[in-house]
Amino acid sequence: MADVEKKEKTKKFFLRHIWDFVLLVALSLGTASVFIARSINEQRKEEDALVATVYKNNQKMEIKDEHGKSVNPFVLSTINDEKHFTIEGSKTDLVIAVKHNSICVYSSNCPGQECVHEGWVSHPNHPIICAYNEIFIEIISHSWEEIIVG
Amino acid sequence: MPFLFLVDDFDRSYDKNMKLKKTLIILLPLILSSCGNEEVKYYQGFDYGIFHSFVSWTYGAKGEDFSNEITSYLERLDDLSDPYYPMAGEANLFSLNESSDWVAVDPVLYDLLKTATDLKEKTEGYFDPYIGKLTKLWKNTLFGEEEDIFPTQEEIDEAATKVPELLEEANSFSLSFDEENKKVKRNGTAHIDLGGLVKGYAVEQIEKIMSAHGSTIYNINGGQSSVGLGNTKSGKPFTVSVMYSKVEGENTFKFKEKDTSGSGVYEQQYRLNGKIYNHIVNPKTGMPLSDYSMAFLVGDDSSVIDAFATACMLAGPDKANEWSKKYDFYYSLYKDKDGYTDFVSESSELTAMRANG
Repeated sequence: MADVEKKEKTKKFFLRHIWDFVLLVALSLGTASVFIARSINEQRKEEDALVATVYKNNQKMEIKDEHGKSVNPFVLSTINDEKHFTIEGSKTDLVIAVKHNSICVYSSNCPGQECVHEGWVSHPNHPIICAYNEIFIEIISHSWEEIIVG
Repeated sequence: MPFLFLVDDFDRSYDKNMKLKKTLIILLPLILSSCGNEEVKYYQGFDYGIFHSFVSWTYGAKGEDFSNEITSYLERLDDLSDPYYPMAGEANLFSLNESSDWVAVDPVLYDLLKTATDLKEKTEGYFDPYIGKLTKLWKNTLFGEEEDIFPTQEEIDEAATKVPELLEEANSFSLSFDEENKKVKRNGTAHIDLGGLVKGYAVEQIEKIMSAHGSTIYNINGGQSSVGLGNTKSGKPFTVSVMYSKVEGENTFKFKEKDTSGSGVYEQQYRLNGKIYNHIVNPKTGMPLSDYSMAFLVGDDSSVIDAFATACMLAGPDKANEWSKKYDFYYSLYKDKDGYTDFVSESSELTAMRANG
C-alpha cells in the first residue's frame, strides 16, 4: 500500500514538474550548442585563410577573372589551379600568378625584376613590391597570428 | 536562475506557472542566440608612407572601422617628420633643419623630437637623431639614385674622409624646447633625422588609438621592423619569427600583448671586401658598419624599443644586457654568418618565450 502511494506521489511530482524538466533539458542543450558553435567558430579561425591583396599606388586594384568576377583580394587558400592575371602597373604591365596558398609576380617589364625574383610567396606579412610599377601585394593570414620581424 | 525559481512554485497556481514556463521555452532560442552573438568585427588597413614603409594593421572592435583615423594620423606624422621635403604653410622636420631660430611646430612633431632627444640620452648616444647629414652622406654614397650601381672602395674611402667633420657637427649639436609654446630651436648646424624612431613611434601611437576605441585584439605591423601586438582572436600567443634565420623557425618566439622591434643590416646593405655596409650609421664612428647584424627586442613601448634595437645592435651584448634590465625590455642579439643571423646572446625571459624552447 505504501509502495503504491509512493509511486503515485512520484508520478504526481513528475507530472507537476514536467515543464521544469523540459525547461532544464532545453537550457542544457541550448547552452551546450552555443558552446559548441563558438568552439567550431574558433577552430575555423585557426584554420588560416591566406588572402593576398594587390594594390597599385595605395589603391586596391580591380582584377577580374575570365567570367568578369572580381577576384582581388585573392583567397589563396581556396585556389586549386594555377591562374595568371595580367595587370597594368604604373609604367608597365605585369603578370600575377596565383595557386593554392601562393602568389607571385610571374613576369614584369620593370627594369629591376626584384618582384619576379621574389618567386612564389606564401608567408603572411611578406609583401611583394614592384616599386617601379607602384605595385604592392600584401599577404595576410586570416588568423594573422604569425609575425615576421626584421 | 529560472529553473530554481520555477521549481519552488508551491505557492503559485499551476496554470500561471505553466504559462510562464511555456513562454520561457518559446523565448529560449532567442535568449541563447543573443548570448552566442559575437559582436566583435575585424578590420584591416594599411598606409604607405612612414619612411617609405608599409604600415598595416588588423584589429577587432565592437564598433565601426576607425582605420581612417589611423591613416590620417600616419599621413600627418609622415609629412611632419619628412627631412627631405617641406610642408605647405606649416613647419616640419625639413623646415626645422633649415632654421636656426625658434620654430613653432605641431604638438605631434614636438613630442616626437622630445622622445628622440630623451632616447638619445638613454641609449648613451648609440641612437642619435642628430646624425642626419651622416645618414644622408652614406645613403647617397651606398644607395644612390641609380639602381644596381654600387660604389667602389675608393668612393667609400672618399666619403669616409667627410665623417670626422660631420661627426663633430653632430656631437656639438643640441635642441632647445619651449614646452609652453611648443617651439623648438636647433643649437648648431647638424641635421635631425628621425628615421630610426618614427616607425616605432607610429606603432605606439596606433596602439593608443586602438586603446582609445577599446580594441584589445590587434596586430600593427610597421614595415616589419616595428610591430605592436595586442591579444589574438583565439587568445593564444602570436608566433613571431626573426628574419634571416638560416633554419626556418630557428628564432621563433611566442607571446602576445607586447611590442617588438628589429634592427638589422640585411635590408639596404652592400657587401664589399668582407664588410657589410648598411643603412644604419654608427653615431660613435660615423660609419655604416656594425659588429652585430641584428637585434630583436620585445617590450611594452614601441618607440623605446625601436631606438634601443639600433643601440643594442651597435653597442653589443654587454650594453644590451645592461639596458634591457634598466629599461625593462628583452633582447636577442645576432652576428652575421654567411648572410644569416648567428645567435650571440639574449635575455633569459626571451629564451623562455622561444617556440622551440
